[in-house]
Amino acid sequence: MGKKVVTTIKVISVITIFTAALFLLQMLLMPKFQHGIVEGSMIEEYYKDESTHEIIFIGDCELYENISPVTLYENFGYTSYIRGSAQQLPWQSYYLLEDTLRYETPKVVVFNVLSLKYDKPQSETYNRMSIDGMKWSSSKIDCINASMTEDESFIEYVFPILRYHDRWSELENDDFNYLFNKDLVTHNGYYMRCDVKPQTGFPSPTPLTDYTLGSNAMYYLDRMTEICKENGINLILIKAPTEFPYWYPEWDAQIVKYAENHNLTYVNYIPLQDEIGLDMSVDTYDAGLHLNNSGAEKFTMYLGNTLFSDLGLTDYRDNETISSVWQDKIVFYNEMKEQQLSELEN
Amino acid sequence: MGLLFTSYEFIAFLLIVFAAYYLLPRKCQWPLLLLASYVFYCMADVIELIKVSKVTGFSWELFLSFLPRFRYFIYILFTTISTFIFARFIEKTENKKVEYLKANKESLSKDEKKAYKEKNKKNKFILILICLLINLGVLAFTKYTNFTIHNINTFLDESKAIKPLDILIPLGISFYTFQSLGYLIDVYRGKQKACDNFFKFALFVSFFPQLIQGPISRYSDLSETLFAEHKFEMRTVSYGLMRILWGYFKKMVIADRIIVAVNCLINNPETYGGLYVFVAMLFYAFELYCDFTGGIDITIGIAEVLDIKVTENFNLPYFSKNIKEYWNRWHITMGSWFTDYIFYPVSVCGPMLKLSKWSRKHLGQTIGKRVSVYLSCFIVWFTTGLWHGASWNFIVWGLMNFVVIMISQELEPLYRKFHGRFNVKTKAWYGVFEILRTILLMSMIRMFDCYRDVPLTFKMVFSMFTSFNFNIFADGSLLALGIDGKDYIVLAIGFLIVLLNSIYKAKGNNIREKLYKNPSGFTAVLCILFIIIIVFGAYGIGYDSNQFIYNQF
Amino acid sequence: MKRILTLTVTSVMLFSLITACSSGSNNNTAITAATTGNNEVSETSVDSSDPSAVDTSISEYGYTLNGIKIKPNDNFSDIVDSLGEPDTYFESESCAFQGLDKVYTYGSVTIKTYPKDDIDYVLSIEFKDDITKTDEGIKIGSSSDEITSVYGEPSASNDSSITYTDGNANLNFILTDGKVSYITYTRVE
Repeated sequence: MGKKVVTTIKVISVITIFTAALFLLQMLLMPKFQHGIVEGSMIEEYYKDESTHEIIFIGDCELYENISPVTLYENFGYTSYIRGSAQQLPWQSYYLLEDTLRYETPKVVVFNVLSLKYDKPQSETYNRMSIDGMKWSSSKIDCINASMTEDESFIEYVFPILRYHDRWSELENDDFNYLFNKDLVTHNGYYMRCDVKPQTGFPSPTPLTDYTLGSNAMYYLDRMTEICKENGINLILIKAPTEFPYWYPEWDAQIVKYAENHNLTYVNYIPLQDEIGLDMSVDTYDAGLHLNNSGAEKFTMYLGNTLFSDLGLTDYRDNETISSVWQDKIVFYNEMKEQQLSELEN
Repeated sequence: MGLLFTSYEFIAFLLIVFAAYYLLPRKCQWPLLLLASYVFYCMADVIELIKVSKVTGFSWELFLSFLPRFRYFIYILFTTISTFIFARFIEKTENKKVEYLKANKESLSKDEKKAYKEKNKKNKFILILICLLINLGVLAFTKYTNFTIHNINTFLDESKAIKPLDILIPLGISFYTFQSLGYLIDVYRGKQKACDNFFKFALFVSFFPQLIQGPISRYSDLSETLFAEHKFEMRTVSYGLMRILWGYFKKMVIADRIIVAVNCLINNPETYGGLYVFVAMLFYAFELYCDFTGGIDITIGIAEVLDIKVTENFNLPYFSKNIKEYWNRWHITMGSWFTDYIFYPVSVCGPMLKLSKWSRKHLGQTIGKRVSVYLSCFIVWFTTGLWHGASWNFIVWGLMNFVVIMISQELEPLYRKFHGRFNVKTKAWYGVFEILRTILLMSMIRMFDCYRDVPLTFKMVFSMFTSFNFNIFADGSLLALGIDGKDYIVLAIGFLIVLLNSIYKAKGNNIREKLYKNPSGFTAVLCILFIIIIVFGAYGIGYDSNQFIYNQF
Repeated sequence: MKRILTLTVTSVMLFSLITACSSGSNNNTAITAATTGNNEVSETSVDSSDPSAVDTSISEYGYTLNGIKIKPNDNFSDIVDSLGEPDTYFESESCAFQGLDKVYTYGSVTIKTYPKDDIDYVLSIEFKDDITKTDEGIKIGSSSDEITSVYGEPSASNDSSITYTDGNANLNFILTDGKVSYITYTRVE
């Protein structure tokens, strides 16, 4: 072998080892979101789910805590997935939808409208939870650019170690245990909470000087409408049945009008609490902001019986391959539910 | 504005420059650096413009509204052009004299020759005077106008107060002005041939690694390698990279971490008195050392990667045994600039010689011979202080140095007597004592450039010597300064590494050379240093928000 | 003799120094306040006309409650204890445990906060009834003319609101039939 070849091999091996070391370190230092704050795991879990879904929910906590895809399957046979994350902003929802369409084309997309009240990037922490889990694509790049707050740098998304480097002092067992493989923490995107904290009341809403929903937020709603139209997807807008954060009637009127103009279905479920059967003294785990498991199951049943009943969705319970996949999900769902309930009893 | 060394943009910029430097034909190397230097000079504003236009959309109006920000270009161009032209004029005048005298060697009488020389000298002097005045005028105008106005206002009624002017202080103006004027004076003195290529000269003035914080290079030193053609050499580049990483280590792992505590202490003097002041003093000494020498390491390292030699600016300053020595080893290029271009001319100028003569005659030898030295020193330290910043803090800081240096000079005989009687000079512990004494003294003087104003500094130093709240070292108060236990561990290890490295160097070793004997070891150290900086550096969102918290207290 | 002279010379100089400074330094805090250490190291260009160089967190519009002036974006964790017991208190957890949004009421004044880095900052200050006046004397029921005579030209206005913006705080008057029906101090996002 010539000297040149030896040098080349040396250089390549040094670079490889160095890059590998950095990469490992990066994996170690990134938060794992397996216990406590599990919301950070939601976005990436989607890619592990190999089956396709006829319904995709896109939105924030008002979806991933309020709707249970397993319940929807068990009772109606509809397959669904929630692509949601904490304080998921309209542009993040749009780009997640774009991202989802790379893998499948659902029949129905359901978007929760609460986040339209945000017109600008909000919080770095939520950005990271919503974006870090996305697989790299042009959608992710656009999503980062649309989401970054002033102090953020694009490169910190490309090399998350630049963001999380100072976690070296906070490393815990989870960081080593889940270095290569993470457990599922959601049920097709649903975050299960079985505890109860009754709703007692909310402070009165602050009157605003301007109720117009932001142009940037509405721009991304427009794009969602467009992309659904292009792909022949039925886009449905909903406002989850929880009253707080406050959803102003002025905002609602704008969405009603938008839905009319674009020929979309929009349902505001806040006035329908009684019809759904929600009892906010038992069906919420955080005093009325989000539903707990019993509330989510009630709401899901209601959706299955009303909103989804005549959309021509398939009942997959008779399909052997698909039902075996879902059987596992049901087992996992019931196990977690039982575990949470037994923990609550003690 | 220029870019911060620690910004992602700067690193990206650096990588592009390095790659282009060795990929382009060698003829293009120095023109590339000139281009890079000017890009560097305005890059932060361009980035800002891009960021804003991303939010609001780019428009012609937006661009126009950004234009005034680039005013600083005019300043650096002005200095470059004026010193370039005047240096040429001065040299031409000198050449004319030589030619004239040569041509008329026979025909001129001795007196005529002398008269011609006088006249020629005067012309040269007028030329340099004009150039010095206009450049120092610009420096004084941009840097000191508002300081002067503030001081005048203290004597005026509020109703008559003069409004401070809206002046932009061009980035690095103190450094590039001094560097250019040093060159001009060297040409005047005949020590330096005037540069005949404007663009080369422009690069000398604006060379980007040293634009913001020095060193203040001499033309004769820098031009040797700056304009040469350089071949890619593994060894030079590796050495340079090592030096850059070492600089980043000191700056990002240590300085940027401890600065949080320093800021917390000095911005809240009401809360942090007594021994906190002592802590602040030591922390600041450590912070400043790591920040400044780290920055210079990055500068010299970048130049080294480009195979350009920049003068050293530090020589283990904290190992000095007295202040005089300290000033020969700290910010060396600035010190020598003041010695060569201020102390020396001031000491030998006409009025000073007259004063010296007069005082010897009237005040006696002992005092007489001191008067002129004292005055020259006073001027040097006053200007040094003023140069550092337009505030009384810096002026007092400069003069404190002057006072301490003069006192220690006066006490010299006493010391010698002491050393003669007790044979301590050779003892190692005495050396350590001298080093610690110098560090403490310098750090104390430096308090003037951290507290808000001069009276407050006096108050805080007084409080350090009078209120002994020793409990702060035991009750965890030091953990509440914005840095916590893990930070202290990193700082302690960092301190140890810096100290060991310095001791090793002080013993005359060259670490890079030793390491390079084993190339794989060298590579491993490079990689490890890189990883250490990435993981333990105090940068990014987490640290911004820490500082954010501290601004609120 | 020599030593005495040296001492005198130095002490005279020291004295002159100190007097020189104390006469000058009373008013120059503005120039030196920004000194946080690194001035000896490097120069950064400072442009006093550059709005980003101005501390935007200073806003003039604020409400004085129990002797403490409160402005949007103020650190509320610091002042909450000095305000005394609130009449009512409400908290709601934000998603993924990122802190609590809190609502305090003191009489007819409501203060809402948002969390950031373990500290609560003032999101808004709101008046519910006409017992409370702004520091400048406007209350619910005042007319828009009264507002403009006190606050001058508004930063923004329409039929149903008048807004004054200063720094990163808004002072908003919500109007119903030309009269103030609600007053809020909010942060500029």
